[in-house]
Amino acid sequence: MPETEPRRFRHLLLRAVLLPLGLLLLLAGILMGAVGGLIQAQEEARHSQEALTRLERVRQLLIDRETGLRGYLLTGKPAFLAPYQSAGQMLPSAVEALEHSLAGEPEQRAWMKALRERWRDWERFADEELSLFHQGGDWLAVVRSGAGKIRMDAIRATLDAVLAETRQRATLRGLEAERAGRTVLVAGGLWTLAVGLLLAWFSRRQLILLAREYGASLARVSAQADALRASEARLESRVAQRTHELTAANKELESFSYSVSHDLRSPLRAIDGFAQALLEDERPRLSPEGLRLLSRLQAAATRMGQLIDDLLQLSRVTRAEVQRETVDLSALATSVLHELRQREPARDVTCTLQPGLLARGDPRLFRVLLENLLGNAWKFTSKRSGAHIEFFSETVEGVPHYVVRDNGVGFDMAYAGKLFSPFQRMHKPSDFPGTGIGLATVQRIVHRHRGEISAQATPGAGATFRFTLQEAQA
Amino acid sequence: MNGPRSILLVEDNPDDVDLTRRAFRRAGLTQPMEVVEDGVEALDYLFARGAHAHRAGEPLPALVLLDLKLPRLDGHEVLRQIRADARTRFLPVVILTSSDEEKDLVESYSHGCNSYVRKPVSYNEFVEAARQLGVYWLVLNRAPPAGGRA
Repeated sequence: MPETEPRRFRHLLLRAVLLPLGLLLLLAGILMGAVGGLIQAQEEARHSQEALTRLERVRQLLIDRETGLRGYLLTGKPAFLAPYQSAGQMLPSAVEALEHSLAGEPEQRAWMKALRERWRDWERFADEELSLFHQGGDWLAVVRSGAGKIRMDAIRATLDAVLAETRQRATLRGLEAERAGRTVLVAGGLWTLAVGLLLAWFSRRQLILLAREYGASLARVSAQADALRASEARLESRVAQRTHELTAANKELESFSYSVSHDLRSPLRAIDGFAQALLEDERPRLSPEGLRLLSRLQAAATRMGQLIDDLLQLSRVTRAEVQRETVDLSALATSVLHELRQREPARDVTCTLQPGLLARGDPRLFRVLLENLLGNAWKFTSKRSGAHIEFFSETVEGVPHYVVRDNGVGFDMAYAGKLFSPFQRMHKPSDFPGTGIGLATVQRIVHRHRGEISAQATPGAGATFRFTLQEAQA
Repeated sequence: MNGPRSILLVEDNPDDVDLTRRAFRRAGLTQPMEVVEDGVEALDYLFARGAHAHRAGEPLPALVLLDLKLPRLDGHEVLRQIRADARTRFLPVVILTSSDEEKDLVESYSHGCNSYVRKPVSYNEFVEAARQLGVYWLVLNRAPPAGGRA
């Protein structure tokens, strides 16, 4: 079931990666919550400690005030009034701070109300004592009455109660914070252990699954490889068989060509030869019409011989083993044109050859190619003056195209599709001789060098043949 | 011996025999032309055996014109046996055939033919070829002493 595999793999991935990741995130969240609780507990403990300090401060300031006042009353020295006065200045803000510190305690309102009331009561009493002292009244009696002490004791009692309560609470909170810390530590440790064990278990499971999967895949792959090898062997034997058949067919074709070459030419030679013998031996007894018919017979035999030769060349181009060497096409073209000139020295033809055009391939086939293309150019410029034949190369998209161009009769592009088929002619044989096989041969040579050939022409204004050549196929 | 040495034509097609005779005659070559029609007979003639046993002691022909496509033993084999025998090792042998196959050309030369001439279809060209052949091998060329006979 190879098609279900991606889904299985996704599943595996989900379990192996996403699940532990989720658990870890959960753990992080819970731990963060616990640590948050711990921090809060510590903050509260610190807060309680701060409240204790502020309680001590208020108590100290009240004592300063009382002792300052008492000292002044007893001695009458204004120096004793200094602590009394500075404590009086500082007390309101200290009380304020204490109230702020106690904010959040459940009994805070009651405590502060009691404290402020008792403090205000003492202050009123102290003011009374001071004004009596200044007016020269019996302040001592007031002191002796112990009313001031009673008031201060009440304040002290209140402060002590708050202090005791707050201290107890601070201790409690400290213990709580400690417990929370321990809980976080233990729970975190346990959780980590659990996740680790879970991960290990999952990994093991996943590995086992993967190993099983891998084994199955391996078996599948090796089965496929076996199948591939088997089909390859089948293919190879089929190729061998085809090659054998092809070789046989080629051999048959070869012997066919051989017998064409041998056996078709002999009767032709006989026809031509005996016609000639007749002409030589019986000329006086032959009528002019007889003579004419004999020469027609010879012409036909010659033409048939040419056709056989051209066909054989065409079939040889297809069968021949192609050599691979670097060939100077310019030199080859020069030599071909030289031969054409020698055959028809009376013709006035301007030839423009680009020197140094090289190609890799079969030199004999290249010669046949140029013989046909330049021969065509030579032939189809025969009926005009100022004949011009060019051979050059132009590069199109990095590929060199070889070009043979003439200014001869050209042809109608409507028939260009037939141009490279054997026995297709663009002109009447009475205008231009030829068997109509040359361009088919040219195309086969170009194809055997993995190239392409195309032609362009305008009737009366010349023809251009463009071809490419790559290194010949083996 | 008495008179010019002959030319041996190994050719099975009577038309070609006729035309070759005629071409040599027209080219002005007067040597007698002996004709054998297959490879076995050609070897019998050269080695004076079988139907040609009476030729024992006769000189070898001045030139052998050998077709390749022959009944029984083909031209390549005939040439190979001519070259393999000390008596005929240096005998001038010209392959005269219709075949233009490179394979034939290469094989003929590797078996030691002296020339390879392709019979043209045009009779006039054939006459010209025969003339040049005769002039070269029968007039210009100097044969090895005693025709290589040991």
